[in-house]
Amino acid sequence: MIYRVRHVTDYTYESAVEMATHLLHLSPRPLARQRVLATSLVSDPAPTRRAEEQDHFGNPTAWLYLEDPHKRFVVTADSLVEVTAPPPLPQETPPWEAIRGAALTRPEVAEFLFPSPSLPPVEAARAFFAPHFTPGRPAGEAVVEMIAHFREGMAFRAGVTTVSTPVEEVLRRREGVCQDFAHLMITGLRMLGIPARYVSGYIRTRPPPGGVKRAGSDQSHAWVAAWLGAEAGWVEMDPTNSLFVTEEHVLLGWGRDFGDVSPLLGVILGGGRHTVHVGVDMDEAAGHEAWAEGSAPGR
Amino acid sequence: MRDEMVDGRGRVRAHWSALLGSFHGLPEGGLLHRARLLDRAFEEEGSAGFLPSASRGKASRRLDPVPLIMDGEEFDRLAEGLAQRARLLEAVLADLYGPQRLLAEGLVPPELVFPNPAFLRPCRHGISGRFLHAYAADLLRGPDGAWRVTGDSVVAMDGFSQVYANRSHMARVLPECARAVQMRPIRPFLDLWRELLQRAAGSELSGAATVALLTPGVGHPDWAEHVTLARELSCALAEVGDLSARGGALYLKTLRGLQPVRVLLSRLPGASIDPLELGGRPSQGISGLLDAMRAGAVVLHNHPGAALAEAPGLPAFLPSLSRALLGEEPALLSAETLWLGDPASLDRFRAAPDAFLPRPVARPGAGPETDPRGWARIEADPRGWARIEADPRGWAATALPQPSSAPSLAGDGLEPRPVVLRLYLLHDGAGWQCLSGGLARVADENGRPTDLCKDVWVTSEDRAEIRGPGPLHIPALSIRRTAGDLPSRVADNLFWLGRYVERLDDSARLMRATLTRLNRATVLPRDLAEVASLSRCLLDARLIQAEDVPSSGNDSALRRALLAAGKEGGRVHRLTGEVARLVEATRDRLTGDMHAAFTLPLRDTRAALMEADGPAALGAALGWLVRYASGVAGVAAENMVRGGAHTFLDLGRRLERGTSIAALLGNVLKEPPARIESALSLALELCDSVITYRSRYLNVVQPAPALDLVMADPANPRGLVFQFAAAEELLARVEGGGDPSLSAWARRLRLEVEAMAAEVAGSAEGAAAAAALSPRLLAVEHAVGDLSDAIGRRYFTLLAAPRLLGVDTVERGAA
Repeated sequence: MIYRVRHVTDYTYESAVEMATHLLHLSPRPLARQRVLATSLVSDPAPTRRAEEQDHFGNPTAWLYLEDPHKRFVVTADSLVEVTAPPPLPQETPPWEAIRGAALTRPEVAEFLFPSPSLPPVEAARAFFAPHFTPGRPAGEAVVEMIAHFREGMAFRAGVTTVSTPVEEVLRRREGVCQDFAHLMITGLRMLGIPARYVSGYIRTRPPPGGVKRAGSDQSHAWVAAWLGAEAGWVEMDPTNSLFVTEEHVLLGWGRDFGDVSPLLGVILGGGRHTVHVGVDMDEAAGHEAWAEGSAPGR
Repeated sequence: MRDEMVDGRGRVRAHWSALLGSFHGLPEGGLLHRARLLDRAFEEEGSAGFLPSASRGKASRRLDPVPLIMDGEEFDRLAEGLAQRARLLEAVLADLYGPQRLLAEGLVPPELVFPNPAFLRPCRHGISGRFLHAYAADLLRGPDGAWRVTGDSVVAMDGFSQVYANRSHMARVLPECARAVQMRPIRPFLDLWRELLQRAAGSELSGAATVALLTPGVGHPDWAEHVTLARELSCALAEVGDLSARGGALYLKTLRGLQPVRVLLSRLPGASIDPLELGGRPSQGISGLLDAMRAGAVVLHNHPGAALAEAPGLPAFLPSLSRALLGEEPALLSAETLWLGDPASLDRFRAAPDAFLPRPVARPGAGPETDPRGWARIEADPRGWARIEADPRGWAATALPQPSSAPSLAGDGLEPRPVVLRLYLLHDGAGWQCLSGGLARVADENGRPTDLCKDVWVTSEDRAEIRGPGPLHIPALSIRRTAGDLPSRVADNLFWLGRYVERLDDSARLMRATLTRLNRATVLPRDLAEVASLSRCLLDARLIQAEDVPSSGNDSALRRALLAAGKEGGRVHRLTGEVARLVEATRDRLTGDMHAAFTLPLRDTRAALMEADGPAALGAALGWLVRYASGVAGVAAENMVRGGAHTFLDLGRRLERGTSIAALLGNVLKEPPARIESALSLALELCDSVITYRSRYLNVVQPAPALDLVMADPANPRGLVFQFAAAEELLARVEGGGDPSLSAWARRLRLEVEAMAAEVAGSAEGAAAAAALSPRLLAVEHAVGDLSDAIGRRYFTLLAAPRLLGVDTVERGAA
């Protein structure tokens, strides 16, 4: 499946920003299951200086430095991505208790066993998932059950949480958005000894039956990847939608928690109060032709 | 316990004999007397100790008159061991921030790295160069006679300046001993360091700020150390707000604009140094600093990621790492450290928990932790055991051997006390050089360092001690007579220091004049009128409240208010605190004598004001305050080079005095023409111009001559025109041929005041004309405030405070 993803972030400031530095995780990460056919990142005003590099986790990262006064800052990330579904879970996975030991000998995996800046250990999160992890149960089986039952009694509700809402509170409220669900599941998995990472990206949405999809109505999305042993490797699952990741998930990058892959961070001087508008469009595209025409579908 | 001076058979070791011999040569009670001299020297040095921030610092350190003598050959072996250890730490850091082979091969457990807040992921890629440029290690000698490293310091490396202060005090107070012991000099190490920094900064000698020392600021316990170090190393002392990264380079904000910084000696925790990439509060770091490092425009000493080397669990792995990375056996061992993730180590710890200090393996160490109370906390807290048993891989335990003892002064004799040692190393581009000296600290019976320290004398065999690069060739400098590279913050602080010292002076004079009148045995109607005038002035200066103004002859509230002004929470008390803070903040611009003159009398006066219980004591304290302000002015005038720092100190004083004279004239002239003579007398008194007036006009007080003296006479330093003329000249110097609007502003004020005095002189009704000036003088007071704000906007506040953007963008997800 080929998608065109356009992500526009539009900041308007009350007074001029004298200087700004921005750190962006807005370009899709090339993967075995995801080919990045084209990608561009444009800002208005154009930066005085720009740098691009992979971060510690291997995600594409860009820095934009603006040194002239500006009252508005618009970043447009535009990508054409070919996505296939990840391979299915292998028939056999090791017992979940064995995962931690196997992970500790692989530094690139072990990193995701430990608490991270936004995700300290929370005993209640471990207890929430523990019923699925009965003694000796194969990790894959436990995870399949966990993801199938996750949304029971967990309501999707926007606007009641923020990026800094702690996992305890999400558990208490039993509601939140994709990010909260991802953070909760990561915390629980890590405490059970299963490496888990935070994945940032997009998911294809469909207009309501009979309705028309509005431009810019898609959103950023977040999900979880868990390491289930050498054979299965990293398995991506989407707690918000109670499913394993499909060819409808476009991946930007991963980290320990939201803080590592925040789509756009900035430090500004001046500016006063600001308003921000974020618009995302993710649409099926025919291929390179759509890119060459330069018109985003749905616009 | 092993002793440094006496061997197992009670004989004095050879390298101590010269020192002991010199002690015998001292007069009776000599050592005790010298110890008192040392205490006094330290007390004066820590003279800002009445500041709450400074009292948290290390001002209370004391120096034992008995140095720790180290045998040169033994010291060389230690230095070589530490050099090897520094090489090893560098190699470990290079791997952990690079290929992470050590993790892949299991030589270092992931617990040491990934959960460690000192592991800075954004430093994994793109930054080249060394991690360690300087290094300090804590050591002690165990009962087996072997020195062991108990801590590695690569961020704070504190105590370094103390070594030099100790040496100079020892040389001054105990010259006989310093001469008797043939010791290695410590100066060459500092010279080498300065030279290396200059080399690293490149040939850009056009500006002195190409090297900067980044300090957390005046409230930090190591502030005094940072001030001294910046001065010794000839680099700019900068706080986060003084630096700005842009265009992939780092700059120091100075009065003349942005000046590039090539080398940054950072004393800030690396994890907060770049808020954009590392998180943390935007105002506590420099956004874009890592970008400037990646671009190669600035080098940090040490690398912000280096704190990883301080991990308490790392020493457990150093011997095997030494073999793997260097192919060498470690020449110097650490205090025994167990990683509790290893089952055998855990058993060993369980068997003898009291012998070890358990710590989380990955918490960045704060230097030496020889504090056994750390264990006491765990012992007392049953969860401590549970925490270790639940996650032994996350814990390390360090053995705490009993340190060796060295003689210390006790009473008037010597007694053996445990000592721990800190040594300092520097990388000269080719290898590690060790300072031939150090800081020894006397420990208490639990092995915890006390505030008593010792100088370390390394015996010399009289050979060239420091190997290093040859002398640096510096091209001839062009002559400069200005200091345009004064950091904006320093100028700001000096300006306000000038203003506040002057405000103290004005306040004290006003209060004193009021007090004198309140205390007269017989109070005349004229006195009552003057007290009313003075109350207006006191109210205007916010020294009293409206309800304190005497009404119907009852002045008890006013008396109480005057006393309260010097007490906790009172305005004068707050002003003295503010002055002390600014003196501390500008310490790097003041010589030791100036610093003492700026702080010691202030401390005494502040205490006297706090204790004053009546008019007599208050009057005396106010007199000291007036003399303190004159003292500061005199010391500054005679010791500070004109231009730069002095300009702003003086400018602050002139503007403050201008505003206060305008205010008091405006307030005292607010009288009916019939009482104008008394008002003018009061004005002359408050402007300290009575004697001059009498010498010119005898005892006849008239409006025109009196106002000429306190307003228009350009030669009267307590007159109004003098202040504005001086401010105009100072501002013109700062403007340096640029936009002259500020000096023009000061000139307009001067002309306005001259015109006012001329009007009174030319008026037939002098008294009425004088009284009519009151509102215009109060307008001048406000105009000076506006000028002060304009100066601040142009020179001090170059940039607004940074803010973080983006964390409030709540992500939502498709349901």
